[in-house]
Amino acid sequence: MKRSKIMLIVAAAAAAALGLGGCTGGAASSGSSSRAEQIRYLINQPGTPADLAAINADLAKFTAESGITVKLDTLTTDTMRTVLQTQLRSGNGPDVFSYSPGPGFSGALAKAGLLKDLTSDYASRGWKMYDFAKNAVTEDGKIIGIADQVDLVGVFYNKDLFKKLGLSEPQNLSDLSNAADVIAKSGVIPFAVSDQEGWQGGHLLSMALGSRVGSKGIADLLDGTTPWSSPDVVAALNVWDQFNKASYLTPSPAAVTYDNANALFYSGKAAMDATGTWLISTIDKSAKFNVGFIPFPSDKGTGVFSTGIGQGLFVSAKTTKLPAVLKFLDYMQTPAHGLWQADKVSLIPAFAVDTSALKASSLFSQVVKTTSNIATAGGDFGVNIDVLTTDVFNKAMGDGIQGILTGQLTPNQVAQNMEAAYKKSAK
Amino acid sequence: MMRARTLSAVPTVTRRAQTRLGIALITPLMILVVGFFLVPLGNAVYYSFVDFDGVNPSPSFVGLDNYGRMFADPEVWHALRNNAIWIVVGTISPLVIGLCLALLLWKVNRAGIYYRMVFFFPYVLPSIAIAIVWSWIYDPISGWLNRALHAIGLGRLATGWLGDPRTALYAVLVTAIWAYTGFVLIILLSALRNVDTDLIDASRLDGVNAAQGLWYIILPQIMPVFLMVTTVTLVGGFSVFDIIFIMTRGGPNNTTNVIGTYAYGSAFQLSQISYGTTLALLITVLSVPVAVAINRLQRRLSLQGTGA
Amino acid sequence: MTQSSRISELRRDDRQHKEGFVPNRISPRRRTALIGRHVILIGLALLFFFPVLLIVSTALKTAADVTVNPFGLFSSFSFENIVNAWIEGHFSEYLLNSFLIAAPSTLLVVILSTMAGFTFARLPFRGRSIAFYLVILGLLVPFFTYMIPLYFELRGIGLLDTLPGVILVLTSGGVSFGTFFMRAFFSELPIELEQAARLDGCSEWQIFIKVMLPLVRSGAGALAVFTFIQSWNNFLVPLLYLPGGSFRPLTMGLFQFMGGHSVEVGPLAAGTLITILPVLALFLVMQRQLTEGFTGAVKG
Repeated sequence: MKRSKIMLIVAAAAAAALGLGGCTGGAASSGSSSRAEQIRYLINQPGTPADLAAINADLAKFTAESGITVKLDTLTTDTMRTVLQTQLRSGNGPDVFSYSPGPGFSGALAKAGLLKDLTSDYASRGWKMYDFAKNAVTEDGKIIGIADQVDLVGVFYNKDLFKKLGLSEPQNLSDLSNAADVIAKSGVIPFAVSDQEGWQGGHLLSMALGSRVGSKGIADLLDGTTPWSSPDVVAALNVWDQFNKASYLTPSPAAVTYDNANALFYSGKAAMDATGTWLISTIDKSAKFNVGFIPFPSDKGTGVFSTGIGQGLFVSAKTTKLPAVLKFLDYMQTPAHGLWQADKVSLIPAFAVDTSALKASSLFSQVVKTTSNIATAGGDFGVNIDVLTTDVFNKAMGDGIQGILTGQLTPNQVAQNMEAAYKKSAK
Repeated sequence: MMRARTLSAVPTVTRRAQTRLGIALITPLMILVVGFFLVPLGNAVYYSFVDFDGVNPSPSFVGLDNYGRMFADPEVWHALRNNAIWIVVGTISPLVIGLCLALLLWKVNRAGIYYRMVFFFPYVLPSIAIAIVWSWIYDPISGWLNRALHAIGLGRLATGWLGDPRTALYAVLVTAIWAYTGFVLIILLSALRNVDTDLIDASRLDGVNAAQGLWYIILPQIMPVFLMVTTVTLVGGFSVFDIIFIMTRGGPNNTTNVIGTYAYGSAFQLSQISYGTTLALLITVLSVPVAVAINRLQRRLSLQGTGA
Repeated sequence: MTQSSRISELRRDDRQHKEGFVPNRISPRRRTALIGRHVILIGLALLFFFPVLLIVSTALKTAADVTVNPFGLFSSFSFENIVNAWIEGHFSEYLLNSFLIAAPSTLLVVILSTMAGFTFARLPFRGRSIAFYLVILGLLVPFFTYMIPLYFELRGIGLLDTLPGVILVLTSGGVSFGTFFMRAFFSELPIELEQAARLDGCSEWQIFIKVMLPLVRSGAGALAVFTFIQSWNNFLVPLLYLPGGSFRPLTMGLFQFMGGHSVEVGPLAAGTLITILPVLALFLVMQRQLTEGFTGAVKG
């Protein structure tokens, strides 16, 4: 009978929609008393109040340097989705906003003509994103935004524990299997895997599949050249199935929540945690041992990191403040800002920065450095599938992997379901 | 029947006065109900006949497509089966436990308030808090339930609970019952106060045992309220959503899906507002006959009089 | 033992229980039953309360402990989660907002439901059944069925993003159960009361106010508590219909701890405690109403 509801609401449709557009309350910058130009910037609700404070400080710095004030609005991730469309259409929306790239998100906006094409600005203003980052914000050959955060998905491992058990950093899939075996025999859970919330499945598949077929393989799957029912996909799913059956994962992973699984890793009850770099700041605080981060390996070698562009910055096609917005985007891509991102809010910048100047924890600087090195050397990255695919597909993928982990479905069945879902949403 | 006799004995003047008062008393309410509920509901019905994705301001008309799809959708039948389990177990349990607790607490006065608070406490908690704390209880590795089972030697019963397809729905049910029983308890305690204890005392002399006393004396006296609580609980089983969604999201792999979670997921996670609305309307259509039946029962029983 | 003395003994035991002192001339059979009853009650109470203890324990842990050892019961002690929720999480503001939203809606629901409950139970007129079913329909329709159309409607009549708008939505949501609930209480009152009052010359309105209403006091009190809880814990309605962020209540405050992948469990538990304290206080104040039932006139 309780009418209290939970989060994860998309529809909120109602949403704020125009409500937000009409809202002039909130923390309006006091500098707007002068005739300084003001742009409206909409972002996702930051994880912690401390993050929000850091962001506001950063924006204040921009205002001090450029004289342009920024009115910051925040919305929860899911509310944004329907809200944005209506806002941008009505012209009452933000001038620049942070949003997820991908067909269900910025892709949909781009198709509806609501985003400003930044291709020429990109060239003329000398912006420099990593290639994989640029690809994520390119739609129909046009650059429609700048990548704001890079997330890598891979395997964190307890270096101290590995050393104690005489294990070295796994160089390929069989190394990983053997390591898991040794760890299991010592009474520790090899992988802290959670899948209760459902989204983790997409990451698990992305890292195994990315390492197996590389970015080209994933691109082929995404555009339909290769079907999702193909053997590589089945093999990638199979890896997790086998690990689960061999008891290398947390028992009953579909019952374990994200936070509880991570707790196992921090307390040393699990040796490895297959998740993403967004967790690094928490790992720094909670894990009292040395932590390493490696890509999920493949049969043939060390594999590649799967990347996701967590957020991109996009510009409304209807903005009347274009010059100011472009200056803002310039600022967001300066090396100094990249360093700020890494230092203050633990986000990997989407362009190369001078890592020697990094004050962040060693794990994080290492990750930023590694990303930078791989990217500049032209190395390959995998992709977080769920950002680039439709909801219907993601549901099939998420449900499917949960089904594998509970033993209800086989990898083959799941691959078939994913292909069927892909075909259904491609219509 | 008593009612008919009473009505025909009521003079027209009184009837008119009653009508006037009645209409006056419910007018503000009806305005609210019509304006804030029936009108948007009508719109929702409209959604079920078009293909609305939440964004397009002029969706296309698709007639009965959504309904056809619903009947052919195997997941709908699966969800309905889960609803059935939920309705049966989730109605009987809190009612039985609540009634037993109410009877136990009926005569306890000194510590009564503490007990009442303890049992009612869970009802007051926000769903988010409930889900998180029970995730600590049900966690397969460090969770309290499995640890307790191991401690008393029943370790082989330990499973993944929320992640194990065989137990997931029941695990959520237990949590829901825990949260809801306090509500039933408080209502029944209130109704019990109205029961004529002299009758019970006298009946005990006649050799009536406790069970018969319950069935023949106590229950009839609290029947209207008991039926009201039953109705609300039962109907709630059709539209249950909150607690399942927040604990398992209908998973793993749709195992704990009920119509409510399926409707919500379709509407808001897959942007198929029309299909989701159609499913939500199914909930209404299914629960109406049940509510009507119990209501008729309640009216008939209340006419038979209460009290001594 | 004679019949009458047996009755007196039973009555005496009952009275003693009601008066709250431990009888010293109680039969062994009754004593075992008494102890048995308390054993069961205490056992169940402990089981029921354990999860609540976990929440309290988490609210009082250090933040670090919560991350690494979420399952531990009272494994550390710190007020930082509560402070975090209160200050950085703005829970002090949200507390006030929750009151501004929940109190008026509860009042309205109780008033309207009592009036309607009485009407549907005791005032026959043509079309009454239909009206009743329309009101009860609200119990059968999940909120998310019509929440989107309601949004657009509120916007259209200018009530979106306003306090009155939210209050009215919560009220209309609560009257379905409220009416159903109060009607049941009014139904229990014997028709003789009404007839007697009418013979005494009371008007219908006076019958309602002077005779019927006082007898359902406890029912109304119970309804007030339940409605308050529902409005207080309601999350969806403020989220949707107060998009501007003004009047943000506690439920949305809890929600802010769930951004991103992780949940900030420590502040969330602390926030939960802050959220439920007023409700518990209300319960304690109203608990007499909740369990009193209606005495007096009914028996006579």
